[in-house]
Amino acid sequence: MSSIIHNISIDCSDTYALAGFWSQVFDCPRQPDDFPGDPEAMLLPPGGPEVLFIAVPEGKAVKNRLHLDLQPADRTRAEEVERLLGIGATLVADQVSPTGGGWVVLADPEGNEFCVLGNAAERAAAAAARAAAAQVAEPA
Amino acid sequence: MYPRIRSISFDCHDTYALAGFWSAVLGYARHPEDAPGEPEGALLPPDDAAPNLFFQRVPEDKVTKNRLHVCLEPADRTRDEEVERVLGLGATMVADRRNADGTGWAVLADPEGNEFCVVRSAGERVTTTTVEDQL
Repeated sequence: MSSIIHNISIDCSDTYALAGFWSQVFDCPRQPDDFPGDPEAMLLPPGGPEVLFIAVPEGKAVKNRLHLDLQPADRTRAEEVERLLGIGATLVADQVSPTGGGWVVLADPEGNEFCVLGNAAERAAAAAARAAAAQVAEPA
Repeated sequence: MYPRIRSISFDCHDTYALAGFWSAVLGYARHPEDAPGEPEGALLPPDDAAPNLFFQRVPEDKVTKNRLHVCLEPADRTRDEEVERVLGLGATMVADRRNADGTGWAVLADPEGNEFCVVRSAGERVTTTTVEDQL
């Protein structure tokens, strides 16, 4: 068959602090055996996969090659962005399209970029808007 | 209530080729609209609730070790068998952290250099008793 994704690993300076931020993002608890200064910390977000934070000596130097895209559940993208900015994320770039698709690029407290997509309803509405615009643009 | 991880996104040069590699590794299906030369690509897991993989074309090269990486667990074979399989699919070995006692993992890279790990299968891990030895 194939492999499954066992976990996502995130290199960082402060595993405890960074796990604390992401635990608020996902509303999942810290692991009971994770403490400040630990070389690793772990979270189990609902829906998975496990996220492992690994302390490394080097700092972040360039834009990350891999990043996570988050989809809000019952908040809108805008509401979710406001909430995340309030718990320590920073705004990197607003890439929401005129039809309501796209995403907002944020960074976690250590600068790791991540995107906030539209929720399911926003994504469906944006897809419908794109389809309608494509029909209008098609020659008769 | 709270957001979920919808995708793991990869910046890359060749979305179609890289998605092809990861499709073979994970058994995820290509998005039906994906084609060679497209600026974006996606892979869909069999379980719709699991994150998908998203590939977006960027002009810049990878220049340093990735800050995020995925760790893979073989579903139906040993870690060592899975390492051989992914090497055959186009992965390269970056750092072999497999120990003589059978513990540990292998650090590999996909065809565009993105590091990923292959850890022991669930069956191989149950033979270990140390709490720290999670991988």
